[in-house]
Formats: sequence, C-alpha cells, structure tokens
Amino acid sequence: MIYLDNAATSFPKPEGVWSACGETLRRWGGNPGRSGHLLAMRASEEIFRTRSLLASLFHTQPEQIIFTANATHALNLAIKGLLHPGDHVVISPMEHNSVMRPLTAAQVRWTAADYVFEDDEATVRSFERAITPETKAIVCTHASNVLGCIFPVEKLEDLCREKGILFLCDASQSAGILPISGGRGHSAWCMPGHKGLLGPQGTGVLILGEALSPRTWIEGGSGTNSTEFLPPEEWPERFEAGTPNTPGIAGLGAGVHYVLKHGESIRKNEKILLEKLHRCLRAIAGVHVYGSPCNSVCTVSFNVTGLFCGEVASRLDEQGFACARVCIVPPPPTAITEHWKRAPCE
Amino acid sequence: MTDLPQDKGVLLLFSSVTGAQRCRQRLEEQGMESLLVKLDRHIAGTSCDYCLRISAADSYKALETVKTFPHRPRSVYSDEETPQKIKWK
Repeated sequence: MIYLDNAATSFPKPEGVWSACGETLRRWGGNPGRSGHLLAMRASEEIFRTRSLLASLFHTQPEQIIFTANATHALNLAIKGLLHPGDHVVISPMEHNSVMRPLTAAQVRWTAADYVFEDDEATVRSFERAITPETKAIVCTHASNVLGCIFPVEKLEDLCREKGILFLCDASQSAGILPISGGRGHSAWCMPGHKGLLGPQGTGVLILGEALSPRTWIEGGSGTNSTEFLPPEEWPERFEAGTPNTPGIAGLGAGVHYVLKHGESIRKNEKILLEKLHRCLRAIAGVHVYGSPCNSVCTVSFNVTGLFCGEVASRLDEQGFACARVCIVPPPPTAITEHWKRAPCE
Repeated sequence: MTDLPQDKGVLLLFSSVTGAQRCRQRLEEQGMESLLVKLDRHIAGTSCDYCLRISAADSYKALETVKTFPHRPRSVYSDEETPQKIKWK
C-alpha cells in the first residue's frame, strides 16, 4: 500500500510515537493531575512535557496549550466558547465542516471572503471588505484540505488586531508543517495532533491567545478546586475537564519532538514531492490537476476526464494507493497528500 | 517580605498541577531545583493542591523569584513535620 492520505491522518508515525504510547500504557498509566502517587505524577510529567514541546514549537506559553481530542473538538471549543448566536464572522471560501457545522450550530452568521490565487494582498483586501461593524471574528483555514493553498493568516491576524476582532485559525493542514506563532492576543489556533504533528489519532490542540476568556462548554473533574462546582479559573485545567488521553498525548510529545528536530528537512522533502507530483500528474493525458504547487502544502487534487472522483479513488485503491475522495461540488477531485518520510524517487 | 525560618525548606502550593509545573520550569531556568509533590497528608484542606518542595538553600531566593511570575503559588508553607503557613508577600 502506498499511503497518500496524509491530509486525513499521517501514517506511518515515527517509532518514538508508538513507543511513547506503549510505554505510557505499560509503565506509567496513572491519571494525571488526580492523585499524588508515583504513576499519577509520572503521567502528569508526560503531559507537561508535551505541553512544553508544543509551546516551544508554536512560540507560546505551556498554559496556553489546551489538549483536545482532535481539531474539530478544538474548533468547537473556540467557536462555541468565544462567539454568540447572531454574531457575524468572515470566513474563507474553503472552510471544512469542522468549522461550518459548529458555526451553524452556534447560530453564527457568516460572509465568505475570496481567495485570490498567488495574491495574498488581494485575499486580505477581500477579507477586509467583508468585515462590517457587526463582525466579531475572522475564521480561516491556514491551508485548504482540498487544494492545499495557503492563506495569509499572519496578515489576517494583523487585520483582526487592527479591527479589534477575534482571529480563529484552523491549522489542521499546517500544524507541524508551516511555521506558526500561536497564542497572541485575541487569536485562537486549532489543530489536530495526528496529522503534521505526527501524533496518534485522538489528539488535538487549541492554542488560546492570552487576552481571550472563552466560556467553557465541557465541565467536570479537573483535579483542582474539587470542592467548587464551577470549573477552575487556571489555564489549561479550566478547559480540560475529564481524564485526558495520556497515552495519546505522550505519543504526540514524541511526534512534536520529531518535528522540532527534523521539521526543516520534512518541509524540504515535501516541497520536492509536491512539485514532482504536480509535474508528473500534469504529464498524464486526461488528468486534470487543480491548484498550483506554489504557496501550497503537500496536498494535490486531481481528476480524470470522464470519471467521478470516487471511481478514481476506488481504482487507485485497487492498485494499492490510499487516497481521499473529496466530497465537494463542482468539481469533485481526488486528493492525495504526500508524506514526510517518502523518498522523492518513490 | 517573608517570615521564613532560615533553616527550613518551603512548600509552594498551587491549585493546578500545570501551575506548579510552570513554576518549577521557571525556577529551573534560574538555576533552582524543586520537587513536584502532592502532599495530601501534610496540610489539611489542600487535598487537591500540588506543592513544589524547595530546599532550605534555595527557599529565600525562590520566594523572591516567584513574586515576579504570572502564576504565583496560592500559599506557602514551611517544609517540616507540621507545616506552618508562611507570610511571603
């Protein structure tokens, strides 16, 4: 099997990831932050180690790192904790359902700005034009999960700061791949742990800007202030009710450690793979490639004349290629996402 | 301002384990060692708190240092058989 579905989840993981998960389950599987015995304290140390590594990677403070189950969970925490019914936000035209469904459930109104290929300034101007006096936030993906194109999120964050509104970023396709400085001011960054950060599934991260004060929407045991019926004020415990995924977070720590150590070479390799993939696919008669390798993460969407994308994905599956069938209309392309470890000759 | 006994270590109490870990990390950056413990049996009424145990050698400097941290201990006790609450700020 040639695995080309890394936009859904990266695979395989570095050896350190699965060994960290296994070690946690076998050797120090206590409940972190709940007790004072050796195994619980050891589990707390694993959690804090991962938190500190993430803070280092994203240039923020450990207490601003909130562990979640996945990017969707993080986006729900941010959207439902920071926005109110009737609020207006500006979104990109390429948002995932992990953004659109929480916005809909939270009864938030939206206007979609334009994405102008290879013109960041024009894209930012489109967002700016869509902002009204009622706008509370820009909610934008860092990189499209379909076309791979990268949004000028730093400029959009600056625009939000200038306008005095929130900035919520879906970094599902960029965390661990593109540089991110999270946790500033009124910005929140949401990401999975199991894609570019190379951690196991069931892990995700919300980075909260230090000026934010979101409402909680999951309350429960935190191991602190247990005589109170309200969640603790302290971050991150305030937003992490319930027993965390300690084995997963330990594995995520190993993944982040790998990214911190090898991130530059991963990026260089992916750039080579991306350009080669575009070039080779475009050379095949009847194959239509969407987007451009410029200003893109390593996701490529394409289709074959006369075939539905599901048919293309099925045929590739039969040939031993794992791809994603993308459900958008029109056009419905097949998306393949290259991997951090693959050699360009493959 | 502190009434810390000269020959005693201190226990810094935090409401959250991450708060204690962050404080320990910052103290380490300044060359001070501390041990994260959960001392339910020592201090009544703090069963959910976490402590940083700091040796007598570092205790005065540590108390002066943590005053500048964003996450300060909720309270401070002397590290002895019957811990006493210490005035420290």
